[in-house]
Amino acid sequence: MNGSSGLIDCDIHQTDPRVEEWVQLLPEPYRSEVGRHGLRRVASGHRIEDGGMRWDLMGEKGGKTLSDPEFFVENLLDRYGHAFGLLSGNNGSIAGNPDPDYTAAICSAYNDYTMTKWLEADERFGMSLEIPLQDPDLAVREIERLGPHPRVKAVSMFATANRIAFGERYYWPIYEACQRHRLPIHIHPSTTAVVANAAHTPAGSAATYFEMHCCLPQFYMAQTVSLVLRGVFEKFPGLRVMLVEGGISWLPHVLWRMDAEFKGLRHETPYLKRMPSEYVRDHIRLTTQPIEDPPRREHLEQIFDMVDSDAIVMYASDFPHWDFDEPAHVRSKVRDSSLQRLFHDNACEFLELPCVAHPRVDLEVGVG
Amino acid sequence: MTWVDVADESTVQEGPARIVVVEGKEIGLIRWRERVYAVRNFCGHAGAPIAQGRVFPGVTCSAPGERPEAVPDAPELRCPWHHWGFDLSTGACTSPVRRPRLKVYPVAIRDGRISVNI
Repeated sequence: MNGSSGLIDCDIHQTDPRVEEWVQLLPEPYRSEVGRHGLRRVASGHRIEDGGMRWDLMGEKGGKTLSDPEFFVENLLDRYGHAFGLLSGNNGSIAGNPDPDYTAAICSAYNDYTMTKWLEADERFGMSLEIPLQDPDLAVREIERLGPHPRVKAVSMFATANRIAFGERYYWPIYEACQRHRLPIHIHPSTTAVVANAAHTPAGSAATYFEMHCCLPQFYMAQTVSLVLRGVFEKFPGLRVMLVEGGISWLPHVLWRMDAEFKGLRHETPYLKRMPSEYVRDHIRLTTQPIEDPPRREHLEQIFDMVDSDAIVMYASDFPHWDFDEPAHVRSKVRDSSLQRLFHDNACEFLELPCVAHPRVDLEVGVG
Repeated sequence: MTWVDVADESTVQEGPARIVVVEGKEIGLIRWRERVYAVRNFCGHAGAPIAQGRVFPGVTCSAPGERPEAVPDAPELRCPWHHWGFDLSTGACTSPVRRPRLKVYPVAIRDGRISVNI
């Protein structure tokens, strides 16, 4: 389309660069290792065709490929009129890796590469920092190094690849740094849960990608409950968390259950000063992709009402992954009155973007 | 319904579809084994260019716990977005609810030329 639709996109995956493009950014001994053998890959055992990329984007188009930022500019930002897009990485090479030093080196090099190659390609890109969750001290070091950059807008954590729930004190140095730099946490799935947790789901191993993918919200439920009930938002009142690609429809249950049980079990969390659902409303945001698709549209509208979506839901495309949600597809499922909040205002406020230059959201309705 | 000559048969090989435009509609010509199929290049789920998807043998299984088996004569076109599968012969979604349907067109090949019944 011509011009901006005012759209803000909270989840864009810049693809792994060709090794020769960034290996020089790694310190030794990793430079030699990766140059010779490539990245250490943590596999799930599931078939994820072409790394989960959209098939219609594979190969060369107009002399560009998925490794080129210009490809994203043309096929995403310009095509849909993005006002802003958050680059959230391609985490297969770091999430769940057991070696904190290696992971920290990869994160730093990848962040440097994204900053120079991708942010310079288009001013509409911002980025989420990759950090090594395996070692909070190293993670904080990376946040201190690049967090002050004006186009760093978030810090990435992986909902499924950790051994310790996100509310625990282990992570608090990370949260302190994020709060100090006013950076929200961008929580995204990883396919490497099997390594971190010895299983793909909380119930055990998933035989197929299909099975694993359907269970991702379970991790988000557990992480949300952990963050709230362990008192993270009392401890860090400026901390903001975005739950990306984990669905939305599970949230009413969690809100109602936490609030109901708080009345009987509050003595276990006496440091909480407010109802659990209030912490969610004030500190947590969820993104649309993959948009839930009930047979009756009004059921999704009811869910959106239950979670006050006009306050807490933000658009994400997941481009260029296979379950990408085109803006028009999401647009067809939300009320006209929610359009501006879901596609722009909520993310603009949450990511603290300079919104004054953005137009009103203007999107076509797609296939419902 | 009108038969429209759209392409030389030799230009449609297994692999990426050949896209032709007939009466303003994009149609994907897809070869699977010896047969050529024609589909509207539009997925009724989310509007993706479905002809840029991939074709696989159909798959069936008699019961849970049994090994899945291929059905080579019932090829399935999977969409490049979201991977929804469609029976290339009928256009029916391969999920049990059979919806949405993919628009498919009858194909005839005569003297090395492909015609599509629009």
